[in-house]
Amino acid sequence: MKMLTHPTQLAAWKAQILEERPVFQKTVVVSNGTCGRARGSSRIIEALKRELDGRGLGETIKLEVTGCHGFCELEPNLVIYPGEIYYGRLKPEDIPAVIDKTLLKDKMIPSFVYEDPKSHRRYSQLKEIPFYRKQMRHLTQDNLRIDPDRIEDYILADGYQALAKALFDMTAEEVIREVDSAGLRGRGGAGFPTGKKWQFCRNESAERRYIICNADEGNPGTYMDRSILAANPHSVIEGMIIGAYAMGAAEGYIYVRMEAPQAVRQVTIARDQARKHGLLGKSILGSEFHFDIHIVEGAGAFVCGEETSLMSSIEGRRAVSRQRPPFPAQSGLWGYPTNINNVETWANVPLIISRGAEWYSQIGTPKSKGTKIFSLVGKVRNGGQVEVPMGIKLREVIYDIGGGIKDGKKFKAVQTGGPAGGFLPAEFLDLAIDYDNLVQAGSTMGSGGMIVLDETTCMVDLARHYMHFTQEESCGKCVPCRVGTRQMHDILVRITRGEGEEEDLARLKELSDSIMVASLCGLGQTAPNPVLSTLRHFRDEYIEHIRHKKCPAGVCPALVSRPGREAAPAVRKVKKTRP
Amino acid sequence: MIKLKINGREIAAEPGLTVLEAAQAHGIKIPNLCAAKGLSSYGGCRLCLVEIKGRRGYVPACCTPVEENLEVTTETPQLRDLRRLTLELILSEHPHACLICTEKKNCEEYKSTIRKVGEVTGCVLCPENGQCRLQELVEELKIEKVRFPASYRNLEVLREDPFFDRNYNLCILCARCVRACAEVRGASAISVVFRGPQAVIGTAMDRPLLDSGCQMCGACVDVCPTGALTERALKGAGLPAETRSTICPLCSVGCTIEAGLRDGQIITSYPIEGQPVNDGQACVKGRFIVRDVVHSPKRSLRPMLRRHGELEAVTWDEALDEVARRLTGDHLPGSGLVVSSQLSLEDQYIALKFSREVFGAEPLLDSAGRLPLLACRSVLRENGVYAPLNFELGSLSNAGFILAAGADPALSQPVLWVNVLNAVRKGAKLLVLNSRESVLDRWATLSLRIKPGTGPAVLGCFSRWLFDRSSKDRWASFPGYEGLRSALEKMSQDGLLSSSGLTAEELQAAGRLLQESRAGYFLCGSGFLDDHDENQVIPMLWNIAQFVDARLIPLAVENNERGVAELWPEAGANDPSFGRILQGAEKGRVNSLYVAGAFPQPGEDRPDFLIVQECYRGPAGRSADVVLPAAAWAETDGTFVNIEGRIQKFKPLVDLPGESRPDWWIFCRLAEKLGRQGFGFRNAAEIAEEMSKELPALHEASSHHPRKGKSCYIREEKIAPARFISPEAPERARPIPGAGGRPDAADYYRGLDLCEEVRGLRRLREKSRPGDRKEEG
Amino acid sequence: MTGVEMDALLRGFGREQKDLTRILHKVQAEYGYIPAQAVQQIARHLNTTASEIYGVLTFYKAFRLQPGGKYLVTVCQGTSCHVRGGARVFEEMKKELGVEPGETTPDRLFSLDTVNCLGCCAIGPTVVVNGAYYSQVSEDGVRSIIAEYRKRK
Repeated sequence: MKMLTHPTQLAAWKAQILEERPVFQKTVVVSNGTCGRARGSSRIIEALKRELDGRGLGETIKLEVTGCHGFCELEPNLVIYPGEIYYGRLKPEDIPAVIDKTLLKDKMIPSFVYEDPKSHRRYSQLKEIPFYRKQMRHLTQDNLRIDPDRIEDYILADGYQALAKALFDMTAEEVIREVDSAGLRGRGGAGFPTGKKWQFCRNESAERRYIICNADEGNPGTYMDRSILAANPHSVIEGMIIGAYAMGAAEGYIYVRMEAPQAVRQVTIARDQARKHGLLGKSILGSEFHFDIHIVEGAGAFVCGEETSLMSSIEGRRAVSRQRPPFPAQSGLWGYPTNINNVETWANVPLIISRGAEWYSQIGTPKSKGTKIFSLVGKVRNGGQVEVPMGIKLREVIYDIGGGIKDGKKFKAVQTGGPAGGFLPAEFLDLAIDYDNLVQAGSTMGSGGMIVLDETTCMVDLARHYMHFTQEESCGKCVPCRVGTRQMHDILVRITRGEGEEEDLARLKELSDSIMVASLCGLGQTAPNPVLSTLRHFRDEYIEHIRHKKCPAGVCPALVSRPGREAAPAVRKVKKTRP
Repeated sequence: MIKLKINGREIAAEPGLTVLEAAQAHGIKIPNLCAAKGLSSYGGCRLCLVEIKGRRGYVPACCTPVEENLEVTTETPQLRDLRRLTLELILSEHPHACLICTEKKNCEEYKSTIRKVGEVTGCVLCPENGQCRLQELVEELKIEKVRFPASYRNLEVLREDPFFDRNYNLCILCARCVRACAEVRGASAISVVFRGPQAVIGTAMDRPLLDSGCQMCGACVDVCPTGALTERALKGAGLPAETRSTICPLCSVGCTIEAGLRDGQIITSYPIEGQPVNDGQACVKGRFIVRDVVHSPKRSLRPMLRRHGELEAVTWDEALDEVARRLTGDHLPGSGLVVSSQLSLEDQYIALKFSREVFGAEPLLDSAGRLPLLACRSVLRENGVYAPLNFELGSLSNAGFILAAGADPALSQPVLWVNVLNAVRKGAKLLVLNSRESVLDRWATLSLRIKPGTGPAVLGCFSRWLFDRSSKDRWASFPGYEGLRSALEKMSQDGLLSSSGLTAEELQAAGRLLQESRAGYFLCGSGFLDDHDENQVIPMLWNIAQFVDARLIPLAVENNERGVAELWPEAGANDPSFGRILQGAEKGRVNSLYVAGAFPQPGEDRPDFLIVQECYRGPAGRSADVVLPAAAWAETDGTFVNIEGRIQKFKPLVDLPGESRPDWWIFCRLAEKLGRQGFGFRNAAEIAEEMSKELPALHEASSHHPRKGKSCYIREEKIAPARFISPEAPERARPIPGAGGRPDAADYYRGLDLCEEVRGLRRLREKSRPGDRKEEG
Repeated sequence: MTGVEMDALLRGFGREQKDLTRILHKVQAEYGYIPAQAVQQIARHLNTTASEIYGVLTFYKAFRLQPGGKYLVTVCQGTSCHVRGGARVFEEMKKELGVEPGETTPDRLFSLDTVNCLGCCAIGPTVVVNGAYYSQVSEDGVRSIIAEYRKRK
């Protein structure tokens, strides 16, 4: 085990790894993230191992297993080097052909190659595939070459060089200035300028400070953070160490939701490896800086994504939210100044330090710099994880990258920002995506969820769905969220059951406005957003439900005659405490 | 003082207050539900939202500390609308039909008995009707309708615990109860469980409160703003028609308790904020069983004489004449008086006077050998130490260090424990030296199990440890130092350690705690004096207290234990057996025994003539020759001195039941019938006057003093400077013969066993006694 | 679960409030739920009361108070799964098993639960059975998945 005690040893280690790695003729990289596994990538890997060994190709063709490649729709997939040939939608029985034809004879197998649905052109090279072509995969491209079980892969990708630069060539203040001038904004949803946030924490004098990585990605439809942590956990760890150095923290926490077991596993392995190599713990890289990371698993509460609730959870309490001020930077974990950032925010930090703020600030828009990873899902043809520069148009993401709406349907709206966000109908397709534009359009960036909807989506049902979500996840402490959203939910249920009244829309608006200003935390304050947004853009759908007892999208069971179907679940039963 | 503006008005507020508290202090009303004095800010009800210049949106006043130059606006049309909507949301989950019913006024007439109905579906059926915070707010905010559909949780009303019911259908989740239980009482018997719309208040696994560490102190009931937590007593009797204040006689703290009366009966008793000593806190006894104590069916109501073998009701004159006849001439030798230690100062003063006059001797104090404060005081005095005993409970809250020896104040002096808890929460260290588990262990910095008999060895270890590390220069001139030094040097350290049962690490840890202690208090409990020889351990405890500059506080158990100590200094040495009385007897048997207290079982023959002056009928009265019914404290006035040395006066709450009379009256009338002078008192105030003149310590007990609203204390005079006491060498641990018998809590009043009388108390005590504790969380 | 076993388990953990979640996760992993006895012992271990522990554990969806069935069936209720037909999949699952979320079938074979996002949004509707992921599940898919487990018993 190589314990690094000096920054120069990093380069030496990288050279050593390169030297010691055997050279192969060809490399097959299989995407083995959560979605891949759900689609059977483990069996693909098994088949590859079996077939390669069986044919005695173990020395010639290298099998690599990595995290998510991003094009989830086509999983299980593999990429062949050299040439970066992308094969998707594979089955184990396809592997012999892949080996015989493509690996051994360089012949393409069309059925595995991406075909554009309109032009019917096939694109075998990854970077040519429309899904990838318009992306700017600064954060995610290394996913193709990193096996998350091996720190060596990260080192080969110049991992921890940014840390060395920060620790030995920059002061803490310089690091903060660099992050600030890069224009990085929090990727968790609030979009607060990261450099400023770090400065607040640093400014508080206290005997200790904490930093936290918020990996409680609970927004339904989003799994970018999970993917980063599972595919390239060291990028987050490196970012955290740099941040801890900048702010003067000796301990950090990564709070991962338990519904992302692969992320928990990989980040723990990575953390342990970092410790073994002197990248975490005492005297990092031989410097005078000490810092270590604890990993805490969530336990099934979306509200833990809210900063104060997250801290309560780490402290081992009921994760109710706390009033702010005081803000975490002033009084956080156990009363100490604490800085919380999202996974993607931390992952951006090594990039900024190694490539420089100037380079970074040239990507994106004047007020929203850098790239953003979006979870492009829903009714889109090519769903997956897309990393694009800020300022790209919605249309480009949904149509050029996403391939438009699947099954020949029409675009109805795209939901961004999760339960705290809103809906953008077709008239916003030319919106340049950045924090402020989305807010002005009545939605939010959120953590990066982009759920594409078509005409088979009922907007009223979706509003009800989000209210149901809020009711399930509300911590229950404050009246507006606990009781108010219940009233909103009940109104929406009635509407979806054909029992809506004319006054309901006014009631929804009044409740929404009140809940937004009266709730204690962000969960309650943003809970009415989906309702307000649908009221704003899809009011006529509400009217159809209320006045004409019709569900135009054909979703609400009570309003759609389908043989043998029962009505939607009634107003939820409140559990009695006694059986 | 911090200057800020509220609604344009400049006010000055104490730093550390919230905007809500500052507003309230200046008479500015901001609606609120979840905020409560003494509890941490919660910010859940959102009714107190205000506007603050420069801050986005609305801010809860209860969570916002005052700051210089803050500009607060509490009333705007938007805020008013928001508050109404919020209150309507709260009401939608709370049976509110009555609150907005147009028939409200008519219905009032019919509400007297339907309150007893099990299910509360409206104010009219709710025991809290008329004193409910929700009702107040509906009035304040002028709510006339609730525009949201109502929902009812439909939870079973929880009735399995004593004293109060829990109807969480009425709960508005303000969590005041949870915070009071955790933050003030340290019991954490309840918590908010589940989350979101499923959230309710509950215990672990829905177990009864008694199984969850609840002490039945009633703090949650007092702090609940709705009818979710209600005293069962009130359901039957209804709201009190009037209230009167009293001093609770059921432990040594002497809480000020407000009694709620109806038709001349006490139906409830509860603490009030801001009162001296307990400031809004109480315990199970003061809160829930005062009425059972006063109105027990066992009350002795008529004077009785035994005629032809049977007890017959007679007039006072008949009874007293018979007693007078008996207590003269030939019948006097071998006779004596036994008096209860729980009587008021006035009663005991007269009893003392009576006994000296009539019997020519001191009376016997019925619990003399068992009271910790008397024991401590007399042992210290025997050793030439006149320790100051006055203190304020509030100062315990600011202690830096507390040592609890053989003490379970959570059981015996609960409101004192609340103050200790307060100190511990603020960082005070707690060292517990008990022979068995208690609630204190959870809060202890270090808890050592001290086996009975090993106390002297343990204290010897501590003394030696501190002594070895003390500066000779500092202590050389302290009186008694030489004696202590030579005694300690003779003790073998290893011998001490092995006798003590402590490990070297435990000794080290305890020693350090003691050494580093600041503003320390040593609480010496009855358990300590039970388990070890008091003549050994009290001096040793005292010495250690001198080393670390701590106050020694004997944990008095009874309501007037301190008063007895001042009134009757020799009471501590009082031999509670019949020995003395027997000395004068001719036939080796007691002649006439006049018992105005607990009847000391002689074991041998019954006295020739037994006069029993009792509050409650019992075995003694049943075998008596004369029965004289005495008043309880609630029917008379008088004075108690509490553990602080505070002199507290109480007035009657209810009329004398039956023919009962105050004890002092009975003694005085008897004395007069015996032709004695100096007993012509017409009321307790006159007795207090004479008493305050006769006894300098009780100077402030005269009726003139409390009138200015100041607290009156025992006057302590420093007779001698503090000194070390030379300890006896503690030998091998030896159990004390005849140990036990000290009450660990005053669960009795004038012969009434409170656990026997009130089932709820018995159930509670069963949980606190060792053996049962293992199952508790 | 015996008290001795629980003690041994607890010895592997610190005794501060912040250790609670990890302890609960471990107990859940070992026993499939949090037994009442465990609540008491954890309270003693952390020097607090059972009600405090209970208050924390009931806040989180992860911790069960009753033993679950042999197979824990979790249906994703996330928005992407929802718009891709997740609601009908959920209804079908409830019908197929005959229980509501949080309940266990009488033969103790299946427990049903929901989760608000599994992160397989591009390939939803998603169902997980004891850690095995099923993607793009249809109503027919529900029946065949359950049939498969019924066969395995």
